[in-house]
Amino acid sequence: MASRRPSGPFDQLAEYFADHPRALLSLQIVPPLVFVFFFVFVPLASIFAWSFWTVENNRLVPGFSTSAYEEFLGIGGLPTWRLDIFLKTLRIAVTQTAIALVLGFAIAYFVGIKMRGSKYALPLLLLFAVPFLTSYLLRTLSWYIVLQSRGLINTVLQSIGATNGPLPGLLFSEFSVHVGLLSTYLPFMIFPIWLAMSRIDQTVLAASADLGGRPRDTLFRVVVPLALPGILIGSIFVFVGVLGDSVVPEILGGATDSSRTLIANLIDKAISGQQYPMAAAIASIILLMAIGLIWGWERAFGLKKIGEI
Amino acid sequence: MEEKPQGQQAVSEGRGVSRRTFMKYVGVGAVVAAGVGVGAYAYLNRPSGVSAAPLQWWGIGTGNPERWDGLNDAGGDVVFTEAPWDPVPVLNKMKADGRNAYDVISNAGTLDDPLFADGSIVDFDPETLPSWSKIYPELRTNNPTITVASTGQIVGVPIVQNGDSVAMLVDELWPGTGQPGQGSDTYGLLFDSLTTGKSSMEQSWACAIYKVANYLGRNHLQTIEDPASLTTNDLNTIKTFMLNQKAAGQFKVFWEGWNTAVSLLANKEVLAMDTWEPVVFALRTQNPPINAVYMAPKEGYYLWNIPIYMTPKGQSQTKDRCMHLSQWTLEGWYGARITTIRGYLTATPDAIQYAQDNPNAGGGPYDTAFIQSRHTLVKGLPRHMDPGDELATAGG
Repeated sequence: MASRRPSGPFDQLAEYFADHPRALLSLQIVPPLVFVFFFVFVPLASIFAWSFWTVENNRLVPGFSTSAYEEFLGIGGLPTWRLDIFLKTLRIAVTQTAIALVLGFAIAYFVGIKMRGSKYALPLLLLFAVPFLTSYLLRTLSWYIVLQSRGLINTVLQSIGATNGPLPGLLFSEFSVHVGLLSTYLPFMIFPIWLAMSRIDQTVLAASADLGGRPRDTLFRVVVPLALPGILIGSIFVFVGVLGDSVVPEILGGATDSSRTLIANLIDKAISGQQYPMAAAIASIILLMAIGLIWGWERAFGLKKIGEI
Repeated sequence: MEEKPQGQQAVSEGRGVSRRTFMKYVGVGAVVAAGVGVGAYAYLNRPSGVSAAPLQWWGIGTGNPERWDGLNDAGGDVVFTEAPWDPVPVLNKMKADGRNAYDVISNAGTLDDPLFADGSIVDFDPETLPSWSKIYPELRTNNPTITVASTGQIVGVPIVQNGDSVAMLVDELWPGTGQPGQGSDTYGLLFDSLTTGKSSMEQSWACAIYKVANYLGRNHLQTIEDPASLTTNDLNTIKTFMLNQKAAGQFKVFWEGWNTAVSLLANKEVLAMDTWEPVVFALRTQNPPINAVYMAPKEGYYLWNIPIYMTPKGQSQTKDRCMHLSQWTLEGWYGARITTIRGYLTATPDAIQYAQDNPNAGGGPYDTAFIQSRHTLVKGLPRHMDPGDELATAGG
């Protein structure tokens, strides 16, 4: 059959790209690459570059000075309080990820495995997304109302005679910061794990049972390994999210245990004090650490698994 | 059929479009889009005087009268937007877009020099205002908050003033007495065992440091020569002291913002707080009222005032209305209103006569005796004193 002669501009375009496949590939790849370059790479590279600049007369001046890093790390006898806050933030982020993992895995397991096929499974899961319909700030402030001395918890405890007065450390403490972070980041753990679990074939679970596997064996030897991609991506979400959170510690953190200042607050304060190179240096260190973390996970588990969920 | 030259290979056949035609369409489209864009930009950035848009006032919330009685006759509407009490964000915001977004701003007076140097505020000849001569002399002359240090130009109009100290919850700190007890006349209450874990200071260091400087210096606990003019060594001394207090668990939280301050005290989360006097006024009007007292510290006050400044936008587009607004803040209604709802003293004594003549004016009622007492009290607050003088009798 004779080929149809192109009759319009789109036909001609299609013909052109059929003859020049590399041009088509370029057209597909170049725009997103340009976008990523200008809107992701350039800003990040700028932050890294600014960390070596200096501030004169309230303005950033190009140059090369490592003083921001030296101050941050406490090199040469300088105080190490910024490094201490960084390490404290890492500790809180790890703890928060572990708490979210325990709770998130249990919820995802219940909804994704135990309630599989139930018409209530999806509505139950969506309940965990409801908080996202409100403002992040209001969501955090609501914990203020619940945890304060005259708040819901203290009022209930005192009314039933469980306590004589407000519980110390409920608000303005590391505890309240963990509560606020948990309410914010728990869904980021639940949904990836649930997605990973929902892909586990029912016959695999049945086979485990048929082969004599106890429920605990099925959980740890079948479900957990198959849900690992979801666990990994959920952990990344929570860990990185906590590293960058400044609102929850600002509202719910206290002065006594310094839970009010995490590393993101330190960046805020550096900007407020026009210490832009310091803010950029801290951001660069966090960025490098996050890249290192993802690289480590890639080496250990392979990020391709994330695509499987 | 005759073979077309390579360049004309794609020339229109039927509904086909050549590259040249396509480029022509693109060119025409770009010109039309650019025209629409320019037109939209011009419309959105038209001079506000044409549309009589509301004046944009960006300021510390305690200077907001929340009503505009008497101003609308000639001044038009005003939109008041609350500004943070944090110097650097204010400077940055004004440098970035504030100078083109707001007509007037009012912030703590310590910022006038850098704001003027940045071109964020202008010299608008405030001395020509009709009520300029009525401004209390200590605010009108040699006032660094309205005077550019390098040139001597007057660039602001003082609108409110006060002396800050400490809010105390009497019934919790001295139960059963109903009156402030031992330690209630010194900033040391913030660092006393009576308030350990129940004390709070403002997150913004610019207010907190002067109270600590007064406490350390006036009581000779540390060497601070002049709390009103701190040196780098003084600041380091204060910083070390505060860090030690924090490490010892003295503070429950560092507060920021008006609502937070009221909430922390109303809910008894903290019992003593370095804060603004309107917080105490708000606590006394809670239901049931809270027995809160504003400290009269023996160490003295750091007196402050908030001026109103004009931006380049105000000068170029709404100068007459900005001048009218500035004048209005010096007159009786604004003074009576601010003193009644905030306890703050305004820059002229007009409020006293106004309250006497118009006790039931809008936003009132206005109690002449109360307003008179506030003027007497705040104007009487000592500035640079030694411990043990008449400081003990001053305060709110």
